[in-house]
Amino acid sequence: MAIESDQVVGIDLGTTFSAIAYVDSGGRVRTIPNREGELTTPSAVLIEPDRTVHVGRKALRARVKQPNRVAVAFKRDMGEKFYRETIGGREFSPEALSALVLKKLVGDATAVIPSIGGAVVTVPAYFGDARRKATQDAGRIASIEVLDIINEPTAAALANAFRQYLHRGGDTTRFELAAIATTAPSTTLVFDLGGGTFDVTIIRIEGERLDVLATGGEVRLGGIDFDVRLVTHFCDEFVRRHGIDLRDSPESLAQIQAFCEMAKITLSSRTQTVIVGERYGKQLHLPISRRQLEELTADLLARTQISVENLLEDALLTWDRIDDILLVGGASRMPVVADMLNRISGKKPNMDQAPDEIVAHGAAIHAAILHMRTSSAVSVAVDGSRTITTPEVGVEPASDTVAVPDLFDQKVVDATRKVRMTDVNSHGLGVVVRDSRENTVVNSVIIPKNTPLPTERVKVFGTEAANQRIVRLRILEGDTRDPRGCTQIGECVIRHLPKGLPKGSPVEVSFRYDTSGRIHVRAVELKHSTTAEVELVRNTGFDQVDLTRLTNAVSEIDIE
Amino acid sequence: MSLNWVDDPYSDFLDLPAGERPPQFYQLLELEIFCAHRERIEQAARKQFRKVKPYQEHPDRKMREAIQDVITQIARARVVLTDPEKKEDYDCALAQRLGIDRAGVLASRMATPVPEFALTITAGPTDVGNTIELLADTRVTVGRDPHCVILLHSLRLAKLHGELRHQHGRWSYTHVARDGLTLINEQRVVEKELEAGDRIEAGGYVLRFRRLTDLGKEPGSYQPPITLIVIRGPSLPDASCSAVGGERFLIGSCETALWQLAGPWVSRHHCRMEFEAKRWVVTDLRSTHGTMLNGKRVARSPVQDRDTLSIGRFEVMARLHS
Repeated sequence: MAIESDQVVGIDLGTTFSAIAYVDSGGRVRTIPNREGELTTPSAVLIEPDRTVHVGRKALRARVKQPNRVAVAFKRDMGEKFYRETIGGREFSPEALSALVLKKLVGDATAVIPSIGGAVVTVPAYFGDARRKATQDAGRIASIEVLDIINEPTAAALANAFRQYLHRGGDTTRFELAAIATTAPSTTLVFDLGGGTFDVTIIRIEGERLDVLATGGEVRLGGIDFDVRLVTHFCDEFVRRHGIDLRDSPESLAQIQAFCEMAKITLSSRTQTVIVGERYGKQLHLPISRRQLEELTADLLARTQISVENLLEDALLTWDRIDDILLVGGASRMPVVADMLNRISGKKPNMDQAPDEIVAHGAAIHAAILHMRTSSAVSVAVDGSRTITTPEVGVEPASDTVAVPDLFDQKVVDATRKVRMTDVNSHGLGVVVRDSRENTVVNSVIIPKNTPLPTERVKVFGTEAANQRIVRLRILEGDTRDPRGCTQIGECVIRHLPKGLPKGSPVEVSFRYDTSGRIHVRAVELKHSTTAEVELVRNTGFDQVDLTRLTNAVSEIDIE
Repeated sequence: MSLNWVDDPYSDFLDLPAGERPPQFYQLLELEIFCAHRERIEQAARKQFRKVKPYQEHPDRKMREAIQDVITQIARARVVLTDPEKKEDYDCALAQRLGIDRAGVLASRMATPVPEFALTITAGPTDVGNTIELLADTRVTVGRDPHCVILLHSLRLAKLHGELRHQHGRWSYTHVARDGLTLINEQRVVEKELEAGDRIEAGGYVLRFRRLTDLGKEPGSYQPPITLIVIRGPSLPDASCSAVGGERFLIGSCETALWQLAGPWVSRHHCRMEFEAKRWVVTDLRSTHGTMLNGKRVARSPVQDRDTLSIGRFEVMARLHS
């Protein structure tokens, strides 16, 4: 089969593993293996003293010998402005490290697709604005055109819907999501417990529509937290037997971390295993049972359960309204996860056949959908309010993209164009105002979380003092009434208000949130129509100088 | 404005009173000590989790870690208190540490029971949507006499229509009036032990017997409610009838009909209103003179806001509240 130019790909940039996939001309979704032949690449970066960079399995292996030269799980710190990981004496931002992983994935993929035109990168649904921005930045730093950032559970549901259709005997050679229209609507709960993050999302699929009803989760809860419990258990036991703390040495700790992770994986298929550790000639063979692991991590599982129950409550749904439970993410393989969901729902959760690839597959499908839309001469956004809009962020206008027939069969194109998807915002958006009754500053939420996007909401406030000449609105992301629990993501200032306005003069604040993640804020002093407007583009968390410097630095790095 | 907190996350995020840190599990979940009600424990853990959760992504790393600890404590509390063995160990240790006589506390609590069940009025001429908690040590009377615990306002009810009693840990309903009738789950009854979810029909009202912990968890949470109002027709004791979403009821001239329309050309079982797939639907029950929706005879049709139904000589308007 001839390889077409400028193919688009989907990338699951995971905490512990990443994957890349694309949709071929016949509409099949394929994972692209890395140079080592693996379908998933460990999200680990090794930087050697001579500045050679390794990403993936080799870096992960090197961690035991050179723990200070290997970075892992940096996704957890994405978007932390001042956070730097020190590797071999040099500082790296999580964005730069992620860029190296992206570079490795895309670089290895060129063996299959010589020219990659752009990528859709996934993020946990529960990621806030800063972390999404950081993910976009990682793409820029890696010199990859990021077509869109989409939520992992949405991607998983999209891939699952597609796969189910194929499973029902659909034509495997065609990408006919449209054919799903013939089946009954269904509501799926996607339970995604990955390496570092946890998402739970309820998605309704009806015909070619995918609507996210509600989303929740925790940014810092995943397989590695389960590993940590095993590590602590083992190290404590080692101290008790031999009086030596393995945690004092980074090498021993890295080794025991690797063993504990392996033990956790083994305990998903077997009920017992042994963890072996050694230091200064002292050894410990510690048998560990599945039951013990479950005991050590019961509170972590309880947290996922609470999130699921609270989400159902938020969405005003009960289990009888959920048709399927889809398990995604490596840590969902632990039998206790399916047991818990089965116990609380009375339903049998479905483990996807490829839980590590499904998110990348969904991203690839989304990328293909976008690609076909942007390449089309005809506008397909019939009901513009509910379609995925062309992602303006980082994308050239539609005119200079490749012609579609080169890439996909016409039937594939026709079917794909019909797909409609709506997502929701995972965090509320509001402004800081003074509550005059309590005389405290509070976050007044304007767009509550789990609102279908795009959306526009308006609230009217009064000025705080007489003769106020300036109104400064601090725009917050978060759901707490107390502004201290939120993150400030921007500011909107109305200046030059006319003199002599009485206290309490009405100021109307409107927030518009579009599907590509842009937030438009408008504030109007209603009596005189003095207006201020600001657009918060999910542009970058870095300034341009930093970004250019990092991009240049990364482009010079060859990943071995 | 300072972005620093006082250094106690438990009082900052959960409004817990000062004291031991981390607080003992019952205090953390704001439950009475040694509470053994599994569902309430789970509900309390969810509630506390909800309070702290939005702060989990606090921009300050230290603060985030403190919040993470609180979340871990809540999750642990739930794990321990919902596992009988672990709870027993925990309770023993706690009683010893605090110097409390656990048996004494539990015995004194038996005397003042916490309400476990409630009645919700899900259909009827008035008060639809109201919930009355049932206190185990009282006799709960139902009727139109002002002294009744559950006071209902239809002339179809007797002054003292029925009563609920609590014995040996079970609630039962007794129909006490000489006239009138009570249906439970559509069966005429004189006395019945109640199960959670039972549907009691008396004098034009539907009362649902529910566990307090199930409140608000029903499908669709009773949206949207419907009200049927007679806009033309002979006079009636109850000129309107409301019901919450999820409910169903019979309209006809029969005494067992929830909304009794006694008049010419109304069949005994004339039609039924029911809630299906988030919509209200009217079904004609093969009535002699038919059910008209906006002037057209229908066998079965969804009902929308401001639709008019003709039942015999009654003209009825439907209002749906969103």
